[in-house]
Amino acid sequence: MPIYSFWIYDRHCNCIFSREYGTGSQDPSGNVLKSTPKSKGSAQFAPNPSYENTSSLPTSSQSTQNSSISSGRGQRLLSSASNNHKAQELIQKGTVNAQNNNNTSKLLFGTLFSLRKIAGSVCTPQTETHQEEEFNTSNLNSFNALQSFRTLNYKCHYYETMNGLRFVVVTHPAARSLQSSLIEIYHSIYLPTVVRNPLMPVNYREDEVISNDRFVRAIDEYWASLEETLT
Amino acid sequence: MLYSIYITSRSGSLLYQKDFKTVNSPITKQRSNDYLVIASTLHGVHAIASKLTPPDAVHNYQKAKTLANSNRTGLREVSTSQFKIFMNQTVTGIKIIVFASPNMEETKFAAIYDKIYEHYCNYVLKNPFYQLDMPIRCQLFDTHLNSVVAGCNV
Repeated sequence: MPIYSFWIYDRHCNCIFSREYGTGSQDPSGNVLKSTPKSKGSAQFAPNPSYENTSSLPTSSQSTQNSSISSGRGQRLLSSASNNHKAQELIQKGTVNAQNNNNTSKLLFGTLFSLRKIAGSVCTPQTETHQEEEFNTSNLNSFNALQSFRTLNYKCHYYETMNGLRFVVVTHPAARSLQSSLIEIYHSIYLPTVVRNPLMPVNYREDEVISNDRFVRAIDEYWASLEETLT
Repeated sequence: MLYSIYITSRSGSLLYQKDFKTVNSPITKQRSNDYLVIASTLHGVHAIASKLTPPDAVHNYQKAKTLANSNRTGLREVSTSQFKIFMNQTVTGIKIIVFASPNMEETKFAAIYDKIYEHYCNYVLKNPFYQLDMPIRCQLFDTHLNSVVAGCNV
């Protein structure tokens, strides 16, 4: 059951991290693949010959340049030779932060935003005062939370933290509920490598992304370690 | 458990909406305008969801166990912590949207959808006074829908 992509949106609705994974299956109709919107100059995971030089850089850089990310894979390939070959192949074919500002990212966010709104509004009681209304539309109430949506082609899992950070992962439709994985990613990967990292910004400017090697590597390792990716 | 049923027309306008009184239903009463908003939002999101299909996943529906009906690429199921939303589309583009409890499954919904669609054909489309794309106000449809819902809310 392949994992197709992974996204993080901050509370200002910007996509601050996106990660696509290629799938092992070769698509019979190549024209479909060509129609993927891919921004030019994106950080494709091509083998990076300059890896030895870049490895001495600090692992976290808040620059918006993606060039240093591709070096992360080299490290991964070296360090986790024991990992399944197939999982590595999927990771190789993917892209990091290549789709943050294109239509797919925005449509995905819009879909989740409206579904979340429906999920909330259907369960909230009618309001009289302004304060009540404010509370009902905030993240702080726990009337209802969107978990996932599904079509016959894919399934999209969603987790929103209390401060409005949104984690999204798109998988095969038969996948089990991966919300617990998203929570785990937030706690065991996002918090130590991004929040507790003094070099990362608190508020992301427009088109500023998480291009933190340790974070990208940890995310890749996490998804590769799930049984779903390998079967 | 079924909580509520929405039927929208091909263009996304709300034709029929009913909340069922069930024990512990999380659905609260909304203003009538909100029902229209919910229905048309789901209609739009249904179309957007098919645009969002990852390029590697476009053929997955062929292996799906459930019958695709005419809702092959669009949104089918939304799960939230309190309820699930199931959507299905007839060949003519009418959407039947069901809000159900989180333990409802796709196969069970398929059976319910078939029944609802059958009643829709029998008591709405065959009603000589019903005009297409107008809100559904047919008493027979109401009573039969109630019996379907009563059948699975026991």
